[in-house]
Amino acid sequence: MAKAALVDFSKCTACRGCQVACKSWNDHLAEETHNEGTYENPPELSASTWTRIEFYEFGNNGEVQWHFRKHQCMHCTNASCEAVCPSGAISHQGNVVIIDQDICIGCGYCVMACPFDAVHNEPPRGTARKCWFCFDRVSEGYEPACAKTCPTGAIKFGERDELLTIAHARVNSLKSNGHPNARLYGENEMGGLQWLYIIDGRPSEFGLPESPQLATHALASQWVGGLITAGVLAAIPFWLLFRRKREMEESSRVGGE
Amino acid sequence: VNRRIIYNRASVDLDGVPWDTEHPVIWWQNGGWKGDVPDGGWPPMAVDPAATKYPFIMKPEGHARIFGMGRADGPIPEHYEPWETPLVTNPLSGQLNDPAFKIWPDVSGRPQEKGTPDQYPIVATTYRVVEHWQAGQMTRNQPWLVELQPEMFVEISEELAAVKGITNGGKVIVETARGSVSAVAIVTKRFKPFQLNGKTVHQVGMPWHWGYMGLSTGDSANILTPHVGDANTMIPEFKAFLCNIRKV
Repeated sequence: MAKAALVDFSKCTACRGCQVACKSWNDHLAEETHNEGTYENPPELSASTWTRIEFYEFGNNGEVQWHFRKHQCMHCTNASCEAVCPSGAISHQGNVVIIDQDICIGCGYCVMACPFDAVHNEPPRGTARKCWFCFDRVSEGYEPACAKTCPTGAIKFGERDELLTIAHARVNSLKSNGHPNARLYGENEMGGLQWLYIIDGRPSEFGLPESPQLATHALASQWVGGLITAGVLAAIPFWLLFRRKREMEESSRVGGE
Repeated sequence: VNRRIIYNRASVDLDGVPWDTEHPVIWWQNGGWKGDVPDGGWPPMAVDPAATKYPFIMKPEGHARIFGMGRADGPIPEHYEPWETPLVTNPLSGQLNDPAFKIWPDVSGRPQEKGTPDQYPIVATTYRVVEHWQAGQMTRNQPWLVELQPEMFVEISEELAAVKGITNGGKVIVETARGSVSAVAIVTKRFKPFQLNGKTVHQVGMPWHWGYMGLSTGDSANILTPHVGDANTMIPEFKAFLCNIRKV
């Protein structure tokens, strides 16, 4: 049983009911915000804002496109945050990524490592916090608060296999109805995401990384590189020393003749 | 009835075959309607003349009307310009405005409340946002909603922003003959200048939800709007009026 959520952005109206439902269920205070020349607010995800709709406006040949994207923790199968966590606070509970607030030391490694910029640690608590897929609701058989409130049915919660079948059918339907760039995001990214997106365009047009990478994916080559560098740095003084000695020996030999 | 097109049974002939075969809305097949939800499920006129009904089901006689009865501004549809308009004459007729609408400045003796296109060349419109309700008494006191839409704003095109030197997120003043409001400018591709009788006309839009009390306060767009009521229902003309805009 692998639960997941599918967001069909061709159905999202950016009403942001999901933002309010998230704050309401998880008991988060509102942030003090300003209008910065956009409908988008708060300006970033934070320790008390776990989901947010982002707005992207494009103009192509007089035709305007307004893309909306729901931003939250994607619950990666291969999670960067979990890979870098030194205290073991981050773990998979089923396929959901949870940060244990009693074990988290607030080091912020996961904040840096997340390819989706979904983890944040801020005062007053200082521990890393993010969407936890409404674990309390889901483990009792309910859908997450955002999916529950979504008035257009853009957010669907269910078995991942079934959602993938629905998603592929929807993408094909969009493609044959004048949206040739429609595609599914999250089926294989980071080993498979628990938040699947149907987007009409390139991932970068929705603020998503084209090919997200595990933060530790280059670790082996970085270690090898580090060892070689350390070896070279250690050898240089000896090489300089021996070169000087050799030069002195050579010059003394010349002087002696 | 959840039909997409009202009176859609008028789109077929007496046997239920669509008049427009290329774009059929509904059609009669094997004793039932296919396509859109029929506006009333009665069979086509020739199939069962005794049991059927004419398609214009909300008119007593069941027929379409060319003349609308009982309207103060006449039976035939006509285009009139708003009270405040960037046009001087109506390109479609000799009558610029609806002769039957109600204008309170005329009644109250305040003709100076009407703006002219030389002083106020920009078309303004007002609307709502989903985060707030009406004047905002309830929603502007709700922290989660104030977080989403914290300030009074005005949306303007990139072209008008360039003309007026306005930057996205900058403070602007919107003025009409009746008053002025302060707002944050949202410069967007969703507003475009348009051509009107060979003249480029800019349009701006703003919500009306703000006021002087609550968690989030700001100027109300009602300061700007004209006091004009339409000829039949007195619905105020808040969707089209003239303004000017400047950077603070």
